[in-house]
Amino acid sequence: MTALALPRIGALVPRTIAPGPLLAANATVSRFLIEAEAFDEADIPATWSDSLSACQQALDRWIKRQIGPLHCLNPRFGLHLLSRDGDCYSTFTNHPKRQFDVGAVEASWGEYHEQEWVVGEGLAALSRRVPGLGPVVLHVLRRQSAWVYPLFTPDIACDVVTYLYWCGEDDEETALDMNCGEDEEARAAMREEMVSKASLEAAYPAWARRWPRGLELPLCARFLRRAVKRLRAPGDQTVRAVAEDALALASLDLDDTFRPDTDGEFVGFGAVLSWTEGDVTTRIYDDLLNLAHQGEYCETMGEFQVQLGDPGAFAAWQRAMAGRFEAIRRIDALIHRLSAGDW
Amino acid sequence: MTIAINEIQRVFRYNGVALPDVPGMTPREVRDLYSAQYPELISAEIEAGEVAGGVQEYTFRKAVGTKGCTSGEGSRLAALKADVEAEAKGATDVRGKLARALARPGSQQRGGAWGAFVLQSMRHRGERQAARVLPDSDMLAPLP
Repeated sequence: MTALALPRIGALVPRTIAPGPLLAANATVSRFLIEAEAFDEADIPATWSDSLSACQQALDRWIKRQIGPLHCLNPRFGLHLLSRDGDCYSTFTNHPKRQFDVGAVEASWGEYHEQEWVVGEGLAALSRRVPGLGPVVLHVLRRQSAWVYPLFTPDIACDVVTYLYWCGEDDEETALDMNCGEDEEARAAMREEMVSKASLEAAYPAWARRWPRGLELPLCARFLRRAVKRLRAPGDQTVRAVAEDALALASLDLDDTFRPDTDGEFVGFGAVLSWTEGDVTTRIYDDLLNLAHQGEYCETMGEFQVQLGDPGAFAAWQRAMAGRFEAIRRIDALIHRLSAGDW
Repeated sequence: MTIAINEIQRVFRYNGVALPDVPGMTPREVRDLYSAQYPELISAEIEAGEVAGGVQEYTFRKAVGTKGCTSGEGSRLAALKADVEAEAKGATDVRGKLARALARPGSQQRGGAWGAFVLQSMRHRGERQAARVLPDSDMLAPLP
């Protein structure tokens, strides 16, 4: 009896190929990245299937080298091709026109897989060691991350609750009036089910629920510098490391230059910072996502367009990202220390 | 005694494939010409064999193991640039040929017919989204 061998695809047959109209466009983009000196020679892989794939890997290595190792965050950077007519080509969303006349590229970035991190205990422990340190660290974290890598913090959760459940009011009473009227039994049942003002107050301390007025970054930096000097004891190592990271983060000059120009609800958060395990934060965040996905929403943290005729502009963008890369590293270190520390 | 002047016939070989000679060109020029078809030849070495029976064989040997595979420091960027230029001309080895073949109207019509057949063969509309694990041909037992 003869066994018939099933046919196999030969090793030389490529698993993927660039669509015909994109072959030349890919080469144009590769040449643009090389001219922009977007990566170092050492970043280029030893082997590649096509030049754009080699550039993609090289750029990926360059970014990873700039940011450094991370514990909690997982940033993803994408490079999309834009035609001279303004059409966007992305491998994952649409197919290019037959004649795709690529004229520009757009870099965009965001978190690949945001996760919940419990930071309440760590922040409270900081304040036990140095009074006021917890609120200052939290403020630096949310103030600087807002420009670079937005975090879903308790103050944002409280803001979201007002328009998500409370009809834009300061508490749930108006929503209860609208849904239950004077029916006390129904009101009590609904209050039990929904996120109420009482549940927020139980979840977060008052200083975490709102953005502190008058607490500017220079003031935070001065406070943190004094705290670092004070924390000299051998047992202060972890608290000191947090203060140093927060000080370095506060000292970075960051702005919203690359803010995405997208309409709709912003949901491009890099992480969800809850206070205690299983508190209301993730529920609020999930409800926000559900609401956002019913309409227009924005889930990228930053974007930047550059014409292919101007490789110098791409190099300038890379230089401008240096501070942001460091900020991402510091934000990640702070979340990691606060959530994983033995407090 | 009459001396017959016989022109030496040149044979170019690359990767086991005989490439037709281009009269009037030096071996280096021939290599550069064929690099439009085989981009990896740009940096290939040329080995001239002994003349035997009026035939001299030239073998193109890639300076690198596979396309885009580089060895020394400083060579990666040069190899990448060479690939970019080759791709810009639309001349990419197997992938370029396959892409051109797939872009032919006949291939597209047949591909469309297969796609329509697959869609028609689905048991219900939801099947398209259903996650399916397709066994690799290596995992299948040979037919008796």
